[in-house]
Amino acid sequence: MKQHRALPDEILLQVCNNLTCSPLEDVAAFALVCKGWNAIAKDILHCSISFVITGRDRLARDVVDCASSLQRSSSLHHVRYLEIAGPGPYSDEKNVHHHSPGWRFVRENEYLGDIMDETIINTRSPTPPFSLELDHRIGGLKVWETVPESSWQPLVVLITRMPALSHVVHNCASAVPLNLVAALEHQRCKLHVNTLRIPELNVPLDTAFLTLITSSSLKSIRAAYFPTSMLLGTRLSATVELWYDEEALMRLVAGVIPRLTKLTILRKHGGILPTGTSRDPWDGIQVSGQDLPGFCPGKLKELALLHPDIIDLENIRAWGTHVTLEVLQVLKISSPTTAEALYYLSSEALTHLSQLSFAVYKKQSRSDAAIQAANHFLLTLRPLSVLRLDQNVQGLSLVQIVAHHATCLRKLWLLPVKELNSHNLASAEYYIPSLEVLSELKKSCSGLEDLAISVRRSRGNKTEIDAYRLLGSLQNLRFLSLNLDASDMSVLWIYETAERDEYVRSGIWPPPPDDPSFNDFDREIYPRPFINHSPGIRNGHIRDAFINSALDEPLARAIFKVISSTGSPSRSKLERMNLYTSGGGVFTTQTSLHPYIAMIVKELSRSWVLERLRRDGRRDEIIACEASQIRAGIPTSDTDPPWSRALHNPERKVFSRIWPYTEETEWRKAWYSFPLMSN
Amino acid sequence: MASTDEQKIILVSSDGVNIQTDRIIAERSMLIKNMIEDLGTPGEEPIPIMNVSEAVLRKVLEWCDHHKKDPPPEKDEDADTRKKTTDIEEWDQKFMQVDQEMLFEIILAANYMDIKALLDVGCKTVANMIKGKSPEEIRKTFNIQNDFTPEEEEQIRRENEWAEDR
Repeated sequence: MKQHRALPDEILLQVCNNLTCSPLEDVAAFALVCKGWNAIAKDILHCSISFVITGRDRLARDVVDCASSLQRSSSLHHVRYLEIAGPGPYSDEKNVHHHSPGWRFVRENEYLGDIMDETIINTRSPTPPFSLELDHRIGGLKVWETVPESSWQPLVVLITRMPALSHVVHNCASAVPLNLVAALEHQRCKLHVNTLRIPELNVPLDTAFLTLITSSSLKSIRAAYFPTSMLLGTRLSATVELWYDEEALMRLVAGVIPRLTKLTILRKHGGILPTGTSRDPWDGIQVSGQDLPGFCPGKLKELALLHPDIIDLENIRAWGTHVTLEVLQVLKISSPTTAEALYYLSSEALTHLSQLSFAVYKKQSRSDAAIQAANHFLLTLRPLSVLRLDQNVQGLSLVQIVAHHATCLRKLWLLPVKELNSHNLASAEYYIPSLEVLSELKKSCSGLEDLAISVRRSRGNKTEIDAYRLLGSLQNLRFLSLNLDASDMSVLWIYETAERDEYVRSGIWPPPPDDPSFNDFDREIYPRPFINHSPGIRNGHIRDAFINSALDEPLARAIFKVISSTGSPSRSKLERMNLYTSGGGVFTTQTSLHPYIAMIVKELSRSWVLERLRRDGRRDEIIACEASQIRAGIPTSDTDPPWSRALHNPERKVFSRIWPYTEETEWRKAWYSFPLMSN
Repeated sequence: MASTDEQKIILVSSDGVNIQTDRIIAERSMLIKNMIEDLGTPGEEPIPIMNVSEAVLRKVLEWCDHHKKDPPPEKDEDADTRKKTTDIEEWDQKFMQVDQEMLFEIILAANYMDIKALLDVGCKTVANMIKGKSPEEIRKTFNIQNDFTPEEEEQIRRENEWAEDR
């Protein structure tokens, strides 16, 4: 092969940087090409390090090991990100029952925030709303102790040998030591503290806290606190008070922390005191002989209010006073927000806001003022590039909202309210965007790259396929998370109407809906009462719920194919699709699913990740991988209770008519998805 | 006097060929833009492009012509931290369908002439040629000699094992 001019290192580095958007195994392969390329790849592979600290002696050993490894590979000057996690460098480490991986290389964005935020506000995550991942990193210990600075010294010395270090993330239960703060200030390194303990306003501030919060290095804070009751049984006695005032946090933002750009509140306590009764925040406390800086609204770029408490007008006004909302770029609200608070936000000039994550809450009544306020809020904002809506999305005027933000929208996540939960569907509601919303996306959102949305399953008929085709016609769509909704509220529609009580009182019900595709068996009333005082449902409805829930690999691939083969050849290729079903067997929001039906639906409701092969020349090949054998939180067949091994009537009758099987326990292997209907 | 858009300028390639082009096209190159501003007499003096041959220069100008109305690149500080993609628009993909020698020459020219968007497209094209391949396949694609000893290779493989995990 002809030898041509070689690319210089800075260009090869740019090439290598482009490989980081795919799994890092491409960068690892790049590193193995030759010595020159290996040196370049280190800038990516060795740029980020994590220390999980479980004890003083262990830390000292890990630091020696890390330093010699970095020195051997000439990588000390490549390290730009450092995470400090775990309980901390305690001297009695043998009492800390925590497995530690010591130090290791990690992806640069593994712990820097976004991934953890996704976990926190993902509807599939359990409450309480603090990051379990973060909790795990901290070490699961609810302690905030200060350990002697000397215990940290080995790590501090190592940091001073990393000239390119630019971000340190403190995910450690132990307080940030002052020698670390001094080292980071000296290196002009940014500090992100995810475990900061904020004293209450009437508690004297100690020097260590004051030094930390007034440090020019401190850039972001994540406040996640545990109630005292959760401390019981941990290393600290329950007398350690971890409550703090939200007002104290506001005071920090408004002038005390000079360069804070990001604040995340996962759990809070206290609130805004009634007007006129507010205490002077940390009255009389001095910083380096000076009084606390005067009140000056903070210039946060990102504010995330992810706590479970209600945000009302008073609360949001207080934030508006303490933060210059004009400069805010990212706002995340997953707390219930009152209509008044939303109108207040609408009236504020959020001129730089480009990303919004917002949970829509509403009361039972259909004409809820909070929904109207949410619509108003979303239609008042300047066009956003990232919009993530969850909870009661179905009440919003989505066609208008999509059209309003269309020009800038790159990422849109419309998340269904709740995961299918066999125990409690009482408050569940399912959201299916209409074809009009999908049409509006197609018409006006030419820049949309990343979409999470629901599509109604209807046995793969034309309407369902049309929805896939509309998704496929989105010009720049590259990442899709698709919830196939198998619920069917039209069956027990009576329960969703205002006339429900009237029917219950009279005891006279219209017959359940029929379907031209039903045979005599399908038309029979399903013998298991679905909800008290109801017209019941038909066998055919259960049959359809099963068919619509069943998602195997051939169907997942067929859906990917329909979506990715629609639209002009010049459109961006769909790179990855997450696919899962929900809602099978749900015909009303007013009752729980029978355990036998839930068991079958869970078996059928698989979730898949389909990805296009990265390799040039083989880009049309798709890799499909089941995201979980059965969806998260649902037991696998190995651990299922004995009663679930075989099916029981009446479900068995319905199931075996769709998927005949002989052996009692073989039903789990008998099913397959019905293919999409051809035109 | 012609408006800036209509002004013509002459570029001289490294092999001594004069190429006339519109100023608006040539000014996609920050190198040329700065030279014109420094000279202050656009069109009067030919501008030497020392490191770029005629064939490559004509190819680069073809790209600049197609992209002459593109908005200026964003300069926000978060640009590097945003999700990187290796998507290349259709016209650019076709433009980059050249032999490897020309591809590298275009990249080098874009770097020298300071045309960031063209450099980006070039680097993405090379990245796409690497994705999903084994080290041996990458060496073969770019005709690179493996200069590791087996022990060194094994050592690096072990060091980077973590990156193989998804």
